[in-house]
Amino acid sequence: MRFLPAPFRRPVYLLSFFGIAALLLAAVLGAFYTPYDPLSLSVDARLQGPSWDHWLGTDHFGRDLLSRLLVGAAVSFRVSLATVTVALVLGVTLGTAAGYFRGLADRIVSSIIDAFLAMPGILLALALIAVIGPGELGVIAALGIAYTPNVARVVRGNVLSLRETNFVETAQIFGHPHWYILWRHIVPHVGGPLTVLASAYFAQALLSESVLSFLGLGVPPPHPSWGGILAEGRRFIADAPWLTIYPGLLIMISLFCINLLGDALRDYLDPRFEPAS
Amino acid sequence: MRLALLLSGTVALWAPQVHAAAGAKQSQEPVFGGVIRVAINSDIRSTNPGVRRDGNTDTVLYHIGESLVAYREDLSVGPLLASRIEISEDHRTFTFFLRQGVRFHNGAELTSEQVKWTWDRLLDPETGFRCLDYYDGSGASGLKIESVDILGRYKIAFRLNKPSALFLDRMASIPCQTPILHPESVAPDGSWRRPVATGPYRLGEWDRGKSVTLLRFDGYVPRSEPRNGLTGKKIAYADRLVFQVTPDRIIAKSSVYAGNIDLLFAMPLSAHNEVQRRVEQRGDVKIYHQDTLDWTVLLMQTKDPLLSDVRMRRAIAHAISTEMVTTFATYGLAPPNPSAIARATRFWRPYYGQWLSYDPELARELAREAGYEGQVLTIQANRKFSYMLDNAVAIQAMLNAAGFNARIEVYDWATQLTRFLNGDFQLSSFGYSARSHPALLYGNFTGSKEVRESYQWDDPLAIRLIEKLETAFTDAETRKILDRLHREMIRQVPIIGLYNDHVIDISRANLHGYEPWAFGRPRLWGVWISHAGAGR
Amino acid sequence: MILKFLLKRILASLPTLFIVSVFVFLLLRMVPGDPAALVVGDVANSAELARVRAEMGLDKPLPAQYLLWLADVLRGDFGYSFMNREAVLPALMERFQVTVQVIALAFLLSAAVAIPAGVFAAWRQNRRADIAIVTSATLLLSVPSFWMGILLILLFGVKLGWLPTLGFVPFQQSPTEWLLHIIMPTAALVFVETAILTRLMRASTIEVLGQEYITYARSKGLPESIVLRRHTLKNAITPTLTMLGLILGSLLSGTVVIETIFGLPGLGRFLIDAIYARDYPVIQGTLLFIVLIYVAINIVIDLLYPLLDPRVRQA
Repeated sequence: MRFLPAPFRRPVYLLSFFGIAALLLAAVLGAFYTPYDPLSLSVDARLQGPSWDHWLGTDHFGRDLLSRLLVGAAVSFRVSLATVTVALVLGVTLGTAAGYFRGLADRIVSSIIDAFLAMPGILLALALIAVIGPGELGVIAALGIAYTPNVARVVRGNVLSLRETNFVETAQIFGHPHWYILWRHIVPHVGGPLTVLASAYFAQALLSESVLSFLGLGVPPPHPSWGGILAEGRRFIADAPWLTIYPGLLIMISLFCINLLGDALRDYLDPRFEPAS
Repeated sequence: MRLALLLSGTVALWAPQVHAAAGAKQSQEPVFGGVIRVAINSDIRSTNPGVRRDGNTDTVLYHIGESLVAYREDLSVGPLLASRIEISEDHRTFTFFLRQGVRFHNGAELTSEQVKWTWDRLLDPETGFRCLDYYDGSGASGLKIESVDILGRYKIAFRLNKPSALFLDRMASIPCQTPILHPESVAPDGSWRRPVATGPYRLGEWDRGKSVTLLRFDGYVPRSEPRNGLTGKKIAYADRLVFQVTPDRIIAKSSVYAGNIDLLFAMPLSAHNEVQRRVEQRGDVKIYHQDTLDWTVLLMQTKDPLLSDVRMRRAIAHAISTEMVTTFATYGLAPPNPSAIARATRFWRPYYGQWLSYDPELARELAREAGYEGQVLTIQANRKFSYMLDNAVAIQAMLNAAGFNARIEVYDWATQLTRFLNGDFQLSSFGYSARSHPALLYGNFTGSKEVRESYQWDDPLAIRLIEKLETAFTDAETRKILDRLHREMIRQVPIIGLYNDHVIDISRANLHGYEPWAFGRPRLWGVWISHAGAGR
Repeated sequence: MILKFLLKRILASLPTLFIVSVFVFLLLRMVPGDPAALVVGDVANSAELARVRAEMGLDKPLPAQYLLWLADVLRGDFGYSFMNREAVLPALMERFQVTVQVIALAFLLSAAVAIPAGVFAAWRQNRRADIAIVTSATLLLSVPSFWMGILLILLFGVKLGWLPTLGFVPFQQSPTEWLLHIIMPTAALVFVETAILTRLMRASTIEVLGQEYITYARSKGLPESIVLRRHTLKNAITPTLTMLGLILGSLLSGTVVIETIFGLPGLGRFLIDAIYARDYPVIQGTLLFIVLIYVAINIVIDLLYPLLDPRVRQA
């Protein structure tokens, strides 16, 4: 473990690494192999509890829950990753523009950011999905846009303070073009806080997708996301609690690992970190 | 990932079940008093019957108001506020003789005056009666009420522009209910105040977003014959009915278990096993089963370039086992029904169960013939009505197993409904709400798409047959036309009928006298809470 | 001085409110789903639809619809629900009361746990206690609140039958019933909030503990308990306080699902129902109302800030 930077050597953080690695592996595995076809229906296998044949039981269409969760891992991670990417691209663009150019651009962007921050994100996403249309792309776009103002706010703050630093001022005196200064001197320094932010929003996106599924507008069936499986399984909570408990547990474990990873990253990037004795 | 449909083992077909619970000891003597708390999944729209309404509004309001006629248990129409009805030879004049001594909630006696006032108000476009097109000549039937004439204190005649066999069916309609109201129901400026009607309950308090409370009307004069559908002898045992807004069905069920709700109607079937177990093990709740008139379907847009070809529509029909879809979506509790003639109506006969065979190979062949080359078929669905999503999931799996490239799009209900109304879909997992008479259901989806985009079956022959139903004055005549309609459905496949929805209601064990019926909504007269649980 | 500041802040928030109102208005109009079709329902016909649309004012051009709505709102009239003709503003206030009770209770409970936990963790930074607290907070943060709600209902409502699963009873009507009904929804929210607050408190306390005046206080030989309570706590709470607006925002988002699960007649469910029903006046009114609250909270925090933070006061 010597190769790891100090903050990452903490046992809980190591645990989170292994957790994330396992989940990613499962997601990749799910794309190539599942014990059963996650979409094939079987009248005879409906709502069966965990058994040797179906390790995690089956749903009301007789579909194997383990297979569905494996495939669902890929769906959930893909949606979360894409959401974070959308939010980062939009947020960094807006935040940098506002923080670097200030003046009118900043005023406009800041007002918009403020306005969006004031609206509960999940509701914003709900309305956006209704406009954009349902499906995986709709969920990604809606959540991505809903998270953008938060990212933009952080980036703007960082860029504002970076702008006052010597090396940016020097670069301006040398007459470097704006894009060069932004690319060479600003963006790299925003990277740290962004990484932490990205891990937090990855977790948020995973959660929000399940909330949207719960409210009826997540990734559409039959391709299952964890949230979708949970939302559907809830109808059978008394008959088939496994349909609610396992996907919920997986969401929780994933969030836990990702959040821990975020903490580790933050500690790593935080100069005040003192290694545990 | 290859999709395959597993057809392993036997397909569990529908089998009639014996439900012990509903028949639980009814020997209990009725008791007056107490409160019956009923869960409704959304708040009512208004207290203005037939104007600002939805299903829950209708349900609450037929406890308050009564029309001249009403459905009986067997879905025929019987008199309610009328004592008898005379129909003229030409089937154009309907004369109603009112029951004497009926009182409004304000104490006034019911006479033809208020009947005329009520109908004049409904027929006035300013009122905004939702079903004005039933009676003003603008509807598909072209039926129009020419006049409503008072012939005596208790005698009033409706004159129609043409003969109609379905006039009374329309008058008895639950969504288009026409309770006779006292003029005090509206303010002098014509705006709605509150229903002053003749029902066994009167409006207590409407706490918006939370509950509607009805109070027993002590001056109610019941009919003498036994309770029958929405007519017959209605006795209000409970002092109060509280309709509690409970959007989440699963929570509502938990609330019945916890004793916070006395009756929950139209539960999702997904819970039936669990409730049944509770009935057997703890016995603190009862379960009621009922086949309804609601008809679940797969809509096909016949204007779609692919689906305009009847071979393509047949291919889809052959690819779908309606029996399997029904088994999955209703947990084997309901039989399939490919026709628009509900199993609960007196018109049903086995012929209407016939449909295109489940034959994926034939489906492939037909699709190939129709020039299908793997284009995406989109099935619209929603999560508000879970059975529509279940139908879509089962259908999608079957279509893909038969070589189609089907995809599901889940919308929220508002969007799907709007798309349905605009004809903006390819395939749509949908449901038609209860219509008492097959003619009314056929009429709801048959017609020219130029007139209404939401019409599904745009065929001159079908339209003509449905017009003929309007003047089929005997059941035999009606059956003959229905036979021809079903034959045409099989030939043209304008829509794929799946099943009549099955509902379960659950109540606390101390609720007695409750019986579900084909409309799938509760009637709370003749229902009482036994002492053990009364007095809350 | 304060008045001038207040006026300035209110003026500064006007663009936000304007953007929100225009954005919400346009967004809603872009959402497919015709409110008139929903009101008319399954017996729809085009003449009836047109009549209902006119009644709702949907037949006018968009700018006219917006200006009419804005003019009404400026006069304090938020309009009437499309669905049940309920006046929007009083309905909002009533629903808001329910939501506020759940949120306030959740917030107080989580603050009671989170503040000491956060300060303690910071004090023991990187020791075993800190790691334990931070890890448990992270775990709590990872529990989806709606999942927690479902499990709570399954356990306490259905299996054990200790708590009612549904609805809301006003405090004035019966304090015990109120508590019984509000306890599960609150609990479902408390976990996540406690986690967020603990982490915030820990971060700001670490910040404060690094300040010179703490080192000075310690060097004077003051006992740690006094250093923590008198010098650290007060200064560490201030930055957390500035996040209050965001925390309340997350609570509001959280209540949307929780209110649906527990059948609470609160603001979140009101809004969700309205979105599904395309009830434009309710959606517009509610979102504007939420943003107003958010803006108001931030103004109040800005006003309180100098009172709490001695450094700002001196400057």
